[in-house]
Amino acid sequence: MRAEVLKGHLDGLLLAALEDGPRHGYGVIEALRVASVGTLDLPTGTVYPALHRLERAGLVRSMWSEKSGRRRRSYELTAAGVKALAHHRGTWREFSGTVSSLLAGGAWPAPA
Amino acid sequence: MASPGVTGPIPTLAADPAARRILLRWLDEFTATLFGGHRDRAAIVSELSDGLHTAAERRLAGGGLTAEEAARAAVAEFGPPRLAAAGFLGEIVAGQARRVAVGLLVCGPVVGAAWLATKGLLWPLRPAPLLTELPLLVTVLAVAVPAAILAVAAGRVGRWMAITGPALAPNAALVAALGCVAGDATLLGALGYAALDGATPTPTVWVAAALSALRLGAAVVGARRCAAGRAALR
Repeated sequence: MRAEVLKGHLDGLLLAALEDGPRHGYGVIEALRVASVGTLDLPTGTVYPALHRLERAGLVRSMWSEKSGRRRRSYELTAAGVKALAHHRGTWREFSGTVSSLLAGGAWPAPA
Repeated sequence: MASPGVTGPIPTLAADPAARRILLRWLDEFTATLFGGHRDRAAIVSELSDGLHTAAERRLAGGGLTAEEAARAAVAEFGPPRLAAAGFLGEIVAGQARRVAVGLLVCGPVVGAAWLATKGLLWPLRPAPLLTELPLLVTVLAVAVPAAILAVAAGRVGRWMAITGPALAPNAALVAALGCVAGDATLLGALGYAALDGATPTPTVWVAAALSALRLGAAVVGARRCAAGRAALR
């Protein structure tokens, strides 16, 4: 799937990937790839900075741990992030429903 | 767990110098290209290093690849290090701007209190610089303080305002820093003028002047950092 198709929906996807519990950055990329059966293969140069932006916006928080002798940064949703995810879901349902209806040959007004 | 058909010891990244070199080469180029000071870069490099090694380990665990092949596949997945580093530019610049703004907000009340304590303490008695330049200083504060608060809160403001982008924080912090430069330069200039006119600053005035001079220097450094960040974003 081309990256430009995801514009505007990346934040919602990242928040959804964190809904079940904390993940580190590469874990988020893997989760999206597996859950979408390979359709969403987001570049690391997009996902990691987006997670930092979501943290700056207060929607996720990060914590450091040690794993296999390496420092690992994991992210989890904040209360504001849970609300934002619900908002993204509502917006997407409305948007996708409308676009699906129009693309399926909805009731277009007669041409002038 | 060994894959079917694979005999001998299970390959590991740590045991393969070629695999380690491939990963380190990517990380070295990524680090060299990353914008920002040591602190900003160190945390990001640690995070990406863990991700890159995890990607290689996953491929190795999947079987069928040597450690070197797994490292090459991980590096290919992460893409050109320069592109990956460029993705962080906005966040690094915003983080730097936020720290500049926090510093200004923290030292503002300290410098302000020091000047308030100088009220009427020039000799022969005459209004201290704080009082003579009050209208200008109030104007500067009315601009600098909201700008600093906006720079600190830029990330959260972005949840509601579609017009925000990575440039909001450095722009706001730059305005705040320049406001502090203008305010401190005004106070120090007024003090200098009074001293030339025969007034003798008391120790309290010298303390306030020293704090203003320190903040002026820090605000200039902060302003240059924010300006460099803005320039890098263009």
